[in-house]
Amino acid sequence: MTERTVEDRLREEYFLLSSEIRRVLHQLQTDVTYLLLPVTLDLKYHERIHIEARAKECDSAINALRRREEARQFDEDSPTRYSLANLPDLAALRVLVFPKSRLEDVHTIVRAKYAEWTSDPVKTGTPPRFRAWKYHGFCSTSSRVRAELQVVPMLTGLFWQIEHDAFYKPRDAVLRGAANKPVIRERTERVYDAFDELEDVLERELQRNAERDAV
Amino acid sequence: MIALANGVLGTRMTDLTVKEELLENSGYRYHFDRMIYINRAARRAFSLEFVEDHSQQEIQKLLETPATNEWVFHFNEPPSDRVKRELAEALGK
Repeated sequence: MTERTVEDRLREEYFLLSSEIRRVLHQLQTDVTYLLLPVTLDLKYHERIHIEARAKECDSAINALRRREEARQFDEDSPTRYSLANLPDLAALRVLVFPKSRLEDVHTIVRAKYAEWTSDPVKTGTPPRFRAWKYHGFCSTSSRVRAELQVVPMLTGLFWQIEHDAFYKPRDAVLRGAANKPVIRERTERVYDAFDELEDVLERELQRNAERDAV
Repeated sequence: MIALANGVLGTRMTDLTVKEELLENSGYRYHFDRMIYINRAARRAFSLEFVEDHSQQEIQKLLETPATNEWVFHFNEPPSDRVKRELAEALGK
């Protein structure tokens, strides 16, 4: 009989978890959208809050576990070491906010509801610089599927979408894994810093306009 | 879509870039899929995690050790015999 591989076992686990993942995502998206309704209705013309939800796909979940292994190789002699339930983001919600002045408000509202969740802010660079809030935990609908919630400056979040397809999980085999290459990480840091500086300038301009209008 | 390519971080980028140059000058190439630095002629590989966590001097010292007929894997967590066998097979092609 053919031996079942680690990947075979994980695919079976995903099949068993998939309906729970969808339920968790539905609950999380509904709750956060409702929480943010007042601030969303209060947005000025140029301000944005976008909520993006995604259920991690089977291959993506398996690859996330694989990336935790050096040389991205499962040890087929230790199949019980691996479980998709160990992933913190089988269901994930990202709240994109523009401009930065709205970010803290949005985060405070969301964090108050999920105060028990484990905080794991995104920091990059040397010295590490804050890029986004991130936390994970369980929704009441499932004790097995952990969900992740991010509150992210919109410019950074939109760049992550490009980075994701181009460097992090590209279909092009040549580029696969490129995001972790030191030289690319270094250049990526510069992009984050440029976004921060741009937002700071925009913020100052908005503030200046507001003061002028008030006179 | 949510991209979560952002977990890592805090390692000295410049330091890493220098270590990468050291490896590339010694005939190693970065394997994007496996995230390892590999030299097929020397039958040796360094995981990205190992490179991040070890100094330039430590890596230099390892590069100076003579090559053998067997594949050598410099990983933070030593790979099992099965992983070594499967990697040698995959990388030896």
